[in-house]
Amino acid sequence: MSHDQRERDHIASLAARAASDRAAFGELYDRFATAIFRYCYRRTGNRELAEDAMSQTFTRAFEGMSGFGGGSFPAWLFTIAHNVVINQARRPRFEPLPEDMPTADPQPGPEAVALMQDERARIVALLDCLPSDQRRVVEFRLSGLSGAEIAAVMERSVPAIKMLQLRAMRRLRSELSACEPGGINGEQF
Amino acid sequence: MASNSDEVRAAEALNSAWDRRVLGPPAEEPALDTPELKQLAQLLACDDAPDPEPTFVAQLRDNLLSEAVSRRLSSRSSSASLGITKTSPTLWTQLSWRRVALAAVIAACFTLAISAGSSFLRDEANAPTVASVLASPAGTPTAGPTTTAWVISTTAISVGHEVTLLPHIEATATNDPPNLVVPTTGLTVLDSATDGTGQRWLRVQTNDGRAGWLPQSDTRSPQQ
Repeated sequence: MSHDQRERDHIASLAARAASDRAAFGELYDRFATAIFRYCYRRTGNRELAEDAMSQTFTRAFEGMSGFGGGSFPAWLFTIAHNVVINQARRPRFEPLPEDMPTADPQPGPEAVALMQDERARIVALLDCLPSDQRRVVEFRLSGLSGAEIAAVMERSVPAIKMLQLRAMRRLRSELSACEPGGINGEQF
Repeated sequence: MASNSDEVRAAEALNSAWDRRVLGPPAEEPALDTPELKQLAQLLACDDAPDPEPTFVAQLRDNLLSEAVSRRLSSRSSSASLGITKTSPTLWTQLSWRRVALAAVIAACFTLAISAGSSFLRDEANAPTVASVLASPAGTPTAGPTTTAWVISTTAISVGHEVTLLPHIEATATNDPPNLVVPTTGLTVLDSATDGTGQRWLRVQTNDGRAGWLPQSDTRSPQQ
């Protein structure tokens, strides 16, 4: 049995016990807290909103553990996180201050920071331009889900997820190339 | 234009590369150097979503797991013996025809008893003497600061700290020293608090270590 399969079996075992076993739920929390936070952060772009969404996600997961009917626990958990973020976006809220405001830290230098922020902002903007299913695949991937788990979350087949990934990467590359003379590494798509 | 098999191969290569990153150990097959993989590497390099604050993660963990404890405690106490019984909030919804029949029989007995008593009223000379217990001053507490508590509330309250309500408990409370005692086990008063509505609550602990809150207003003297 492969390491991945053992890991998945262990998580499935924890999930099966988590409704009545506090330690099992705690271990699941420890394993997925960072991934869920980062997923929520990518969707919200704000630390406080991401913390709020993460808190709601795990609270709902805890409340719903007795109804967890097996299958992939990560897929189930990320489905909750996705719904929480969607509901959060529907609620009216005050616009927070941007987090990428210049800081007093001199490292790595204002020009480099500006370039990095510009690159990141461009990637984020490009992700926003992707069709929603392609964007979800990329965000789930960046959050650490495997292709099979993404297929479970999105209720699609694994081959369909693979093609969505491919199209998302090509779309990103195409958009980036359009912004730069000569394209990335001189290649055009 | 790329053929269908090229598309599938590129999709497989991209998926394998991403799975390798997610699932850890590298696969045996060499990574293909395709434009999509370069784009993936660039995307990963630009992904700077931060990790959560460790203090926040720890605090949320504590909150979730302490909630797990209190819920399990609550569900366990609802079925515990300890001489403790839980009031049923659905009394009327559980009425069956047997209960209705029993109530009818009891009502008939009362009617007969009253009819028999009224026959004595017609012959006052032979009527029995009936002391009114309800009107007797002996109905007031006579054992000093001892009272009996019937906790009938299972309503959730907010008193600014963690609350676990114990189910219906019949207990004896003494004021000096502060203590609550049920017939088969003891409850110790640990704390008291007032909620937003002015209701006073006692925090008590059973002999087996369970703790909970009792509304102080739901107490009556034993002889009332």
